[in-house]
Amino acid sequence: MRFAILVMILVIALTASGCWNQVELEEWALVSAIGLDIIPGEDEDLIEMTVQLIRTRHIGTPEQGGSKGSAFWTVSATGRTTPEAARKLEKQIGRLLFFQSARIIVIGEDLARAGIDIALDWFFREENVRRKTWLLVARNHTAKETLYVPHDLEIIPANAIDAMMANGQHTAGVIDSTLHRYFRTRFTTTSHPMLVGVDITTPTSADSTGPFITISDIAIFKEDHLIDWLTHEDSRGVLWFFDTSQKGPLLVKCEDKPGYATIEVLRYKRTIDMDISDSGEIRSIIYNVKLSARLIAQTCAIDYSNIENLSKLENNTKDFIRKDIDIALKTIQELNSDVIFLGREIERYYPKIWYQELASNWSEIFPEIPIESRVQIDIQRIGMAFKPTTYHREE
Amino acid sequence: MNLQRFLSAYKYIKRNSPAKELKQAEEHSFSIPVAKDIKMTKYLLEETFSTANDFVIRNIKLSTHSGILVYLDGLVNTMTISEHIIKPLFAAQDLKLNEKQPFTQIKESFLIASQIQEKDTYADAIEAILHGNTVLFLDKIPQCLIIDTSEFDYRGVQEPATEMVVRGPREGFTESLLTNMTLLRRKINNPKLKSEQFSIGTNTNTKVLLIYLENLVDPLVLQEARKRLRSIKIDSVLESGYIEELIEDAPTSPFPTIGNTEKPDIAAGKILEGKLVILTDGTPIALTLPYTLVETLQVPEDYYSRAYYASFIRTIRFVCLLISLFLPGLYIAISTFHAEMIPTDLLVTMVAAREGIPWPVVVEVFLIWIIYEILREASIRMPKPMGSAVSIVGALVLGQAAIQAGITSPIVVIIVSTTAIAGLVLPSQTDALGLLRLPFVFLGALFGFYGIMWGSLLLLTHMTSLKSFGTPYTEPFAPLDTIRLRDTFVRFPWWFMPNRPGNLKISRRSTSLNKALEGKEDD
Repeated sequence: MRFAILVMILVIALTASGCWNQVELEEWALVSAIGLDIIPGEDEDLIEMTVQLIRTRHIGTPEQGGSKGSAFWTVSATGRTTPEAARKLEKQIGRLLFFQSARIIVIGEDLARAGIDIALDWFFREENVRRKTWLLVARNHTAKETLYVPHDLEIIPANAIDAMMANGQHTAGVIDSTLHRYFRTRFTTTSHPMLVGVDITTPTSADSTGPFITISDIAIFKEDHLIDWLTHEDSRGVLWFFDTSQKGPLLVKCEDKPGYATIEVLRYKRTIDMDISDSGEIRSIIYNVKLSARLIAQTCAIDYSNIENLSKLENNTKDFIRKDIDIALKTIQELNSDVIFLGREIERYYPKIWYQELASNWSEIFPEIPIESRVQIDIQRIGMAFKPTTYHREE
Repeated sequence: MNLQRFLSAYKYIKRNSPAKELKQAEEHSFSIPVAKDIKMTKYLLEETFSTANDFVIRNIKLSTHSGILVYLDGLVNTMTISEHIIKPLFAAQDLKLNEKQPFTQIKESFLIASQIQEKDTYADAIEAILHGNTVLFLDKIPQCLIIDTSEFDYRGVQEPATEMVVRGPREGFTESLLTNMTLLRRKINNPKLKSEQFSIGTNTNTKVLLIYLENLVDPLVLQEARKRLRSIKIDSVLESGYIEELIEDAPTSPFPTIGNTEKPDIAAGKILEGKLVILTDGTPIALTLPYTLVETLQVPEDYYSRAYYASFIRTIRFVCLLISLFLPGLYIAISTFHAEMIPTDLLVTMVAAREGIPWPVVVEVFLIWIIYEILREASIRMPKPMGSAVSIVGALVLGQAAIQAGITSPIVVIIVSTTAIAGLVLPSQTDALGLLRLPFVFLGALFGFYGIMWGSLLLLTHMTSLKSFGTPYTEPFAPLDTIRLRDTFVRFPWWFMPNRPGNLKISRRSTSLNKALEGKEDD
């Protein structure tokens, strides 16, 4: 009897639950990149979804006829919402779209300026896209145009952009621009997203094969609208406000002689000192940046094995970083977009004051806050060449 | 008792009655005491062994008695009979026999054979003859003398083909019970090593030995084993598998609850862990009990080589257990329900491989699996010279042609062959794993991870419910025994296991209780 009941429970549990969503692998169309654009309509605006599909047949082993023809296929469809566009696409290509394999989501600049939440809401709600997918803004172009551009090395262009972004995180000072980060930022009421822009560069020399995609400036958002682009010079300082991202090489001018010393950050720590009165008046915010670094190259003829010279270089680096930070802060405050999560930091340390006094009118307060930065630097290593090779020549 | 009348009745019944009555009559006739009249004896034995052409009756004369020597040619050493029985009897022919106790005199003064017993029923005599003894009957004496002369040809001690080792003893059990017992005795030189003999099979009368170390064995397990062996009712025992099936705890479970081995060192190891070993005459496969799941992972070499590498290999074996059980089911579940779990680069490769395959992935897995099973069975059964032909065809069919023809993807071939190879790492569970893989394939194909989760839950519940002679099957994991965990996924070095054999509950029991138990059993 007990056995019969057990069997019944099992049978009901197994059949009533119904995992009938079985899909064979070859019924999927693997999406490598998603592009979203806005198409202004007469009554209402439409969303155009472009997908870059992987033509798996052209990737397989040579016996199966791999590496013949293009390995990707770009198609678009429009709809009033993103899922509608996606369903139309599925009708068009005859397979189900597999978004989990997407490496990048590219937003056209027009859509970015109009606001991207309406387009991304679907991805936000459903588990159909990986949260680590890069969310990028196509500068000067539509997302559609961007997804058509091939890459000379990678057979799937999206993989190339993915690699650029991933490597850039470690070496070239590219900000973390994932879908996850975007959603996290949008969940706060006072912070604003910052996304990486991609641009189509047409090569100038004749030997290159065609246009290619490059990572360009940083898109500053106010809520979900793109408001401005920061150039690399302006945006470099922004990196210092985040603990995680690597900073890339710093080119510091040598003091008396022409040339640059290239500094690479080894370890980095950022703390914030806040002085906020109970009434919510922000007296001062001080960013303390503490880093250890190493000298990796120099073009000026200065002997940095001499400790005095090195401490001069440290001072120069300090000024250089502070200047970077100040430029970035000034720009951000002018744009009035808290992309550096200052509001979140205050909320964390002064939650009461934050909710009572600051949160509601943060956009009026933010541009006026006196923010300072203090830099502490320790150049620990100068490499194996003590004196530069140019040193004796100069003497 | 009028024997003459009984014998004619016996003869009549044997000709005319159905088998059941005949059996009863035979049992009856055999249990009667040996007749004084040698002619009766002769007649009865001739009737009993009427068509056995290897049955020999040798007439002799001793003093005033006429007598017969009875044996089965082929089971005995004829040299022993002529040198150690007939020759001394001839020499003593003219001596006067002690009429009161003639057999005592013969036994003690005449015969040179090493083992001699006096018996007084025909049943004993006939059984002795069947086991290769020579039996001496004398006229006017209602007794017989059983003289051990048995010698048969057997395969010598060889390295077993089923359990190979790199380091460790190479010898394996043979088909001879005596040799096997000797092999065990040579490993454990201890008078406490006991062996109890059972005779099982109404037609075969197969000798079965229950072997244990008196000071280590759990008396309750021993009692249970004896009880089960005694209650076996079967006509024949040709291999220890018969006994295994008749005394195992869970005959309906796919998991074996009795272990088997072909190597004396393994058997000795089990005995030294307080387990029992059952040797069956005529087969080199010994049974060990109780048997638990963790013994699946244990291989004698683990104990002979250094502990660190042995532990690593144990872990690998455990992984193989999981692979062999779950891999095909998981592959199907992931590829049909949970494709988002696959890393993108791998997914692209997998989809590329699936392009143009005419059937769903379940069918694909089944197809390759069945082909593999067919090849495996064929390579075991076929005559050796054909082996290379089959392996060429197998490699071509599996490895190349099926993929090139587009009826299967290379990934499925990899999955199935990995599963198969992983299953071969654990020979003792190959049957169970092979059977259980199937439901997991179905569950994975129908319900994805959800089904596999249910399946594993059921499997775990079933495994924990199993017992082998009172020992929980999943011991020492459930119930947890932290000390015994030292010899499970990893093998701790010997100096870390001072209380071995740790699995003995007997060590926790008082000696008086043991004595009480033993006394109770003798009743």
